Amino acid sequence: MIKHLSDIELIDLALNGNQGAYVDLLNRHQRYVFTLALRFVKSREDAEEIAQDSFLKAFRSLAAFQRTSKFTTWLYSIVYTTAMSKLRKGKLDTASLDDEEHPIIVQNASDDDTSSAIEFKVRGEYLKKAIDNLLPDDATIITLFYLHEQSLEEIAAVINMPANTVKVKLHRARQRLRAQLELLLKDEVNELL
Amino acid sequence: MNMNRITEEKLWDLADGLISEPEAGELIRSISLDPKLKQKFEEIKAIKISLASMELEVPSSSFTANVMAKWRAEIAPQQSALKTLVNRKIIYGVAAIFIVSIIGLLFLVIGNAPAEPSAQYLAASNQVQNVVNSQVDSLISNRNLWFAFLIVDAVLLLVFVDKLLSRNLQHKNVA
Repeated sequence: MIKHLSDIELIDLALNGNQGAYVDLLNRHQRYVFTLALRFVKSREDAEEIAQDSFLKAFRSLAAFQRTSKFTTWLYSIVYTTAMSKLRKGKLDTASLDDEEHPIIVQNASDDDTSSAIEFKVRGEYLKKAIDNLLPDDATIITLFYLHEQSLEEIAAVINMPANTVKVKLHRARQRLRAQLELLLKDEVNELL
Repeated sequence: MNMNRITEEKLWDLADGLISEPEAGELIRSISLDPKLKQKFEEIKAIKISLASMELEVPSSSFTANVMAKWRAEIAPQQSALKTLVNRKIIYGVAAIFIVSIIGLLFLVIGNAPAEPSAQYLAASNQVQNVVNSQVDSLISNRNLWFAFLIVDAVLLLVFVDKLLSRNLQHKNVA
């Protein structure tokens, strides 16, 4: 029964002390949260720690959740801030978040061989590898927009930026993704030769 | 629409549904007239479909259990604190009612009491004293009553020891 309830209904149950509702919220969103956490850190253990902390933070402040936005938008914003603070605390490669240090290297658009290769060879594994090679911000925006189906406004709420900035960042992220795909596919062609 | 002005960004926006009519219709018409643009658009759509159908990562099988264990450990002290707070409130409330009632009755009795006891009052008091004494004597000499009293005490003692032992066992398990 509880599985058919909406997020808001589950939140109400959870706030009334129903532990099953917490479990259901957790089961429903853990794969999305974990996937998003993996966009920030490469290790699965670290990503799991971020996901775990994010859920605990969300549970703690569930009563404060303003129902003006989707629960997922709110939850992803917690994942984003948790991951960013962990990156900063751990003194990891936070400088990589700076766009200027990672210029967009897009191959010539008229490179038909590569383009057709992309057209026919785009597979989940290539995309996964390409996303793994992106900057955390780019990977997050791509993941939220395409995999989690969040709108530009919702992503803006998650990463606390104006929607127009998100749109520009999405465009740059797509270009970098395309560049990464081209690199990966070229490497593969070279290996075959 | 000038085909040279159709950028890759526009094509992505079109594929993502970020461009509304009538611009979207014009773009689609322009794309259908240019094979290069058409190829590019198809490529973008393929990437978009692949992105949307990417498999989500799965955390370890113990993820839910770990989060819930931490969550339960977090809320357990809060819940017991809340319980204690409620119990104390009830206890203090009941105690306050009793104290106020006793003090009120005391004032009432003292206020209505005569300054000197009358002869009638003293006679009645002696009579009551005699009845109470005879009743107490009969109770003390009743063996069955004493036996029942001891049995009830023994049962209460056993219940108390059982609760004490189970509480100690629970504390050990939590530790």
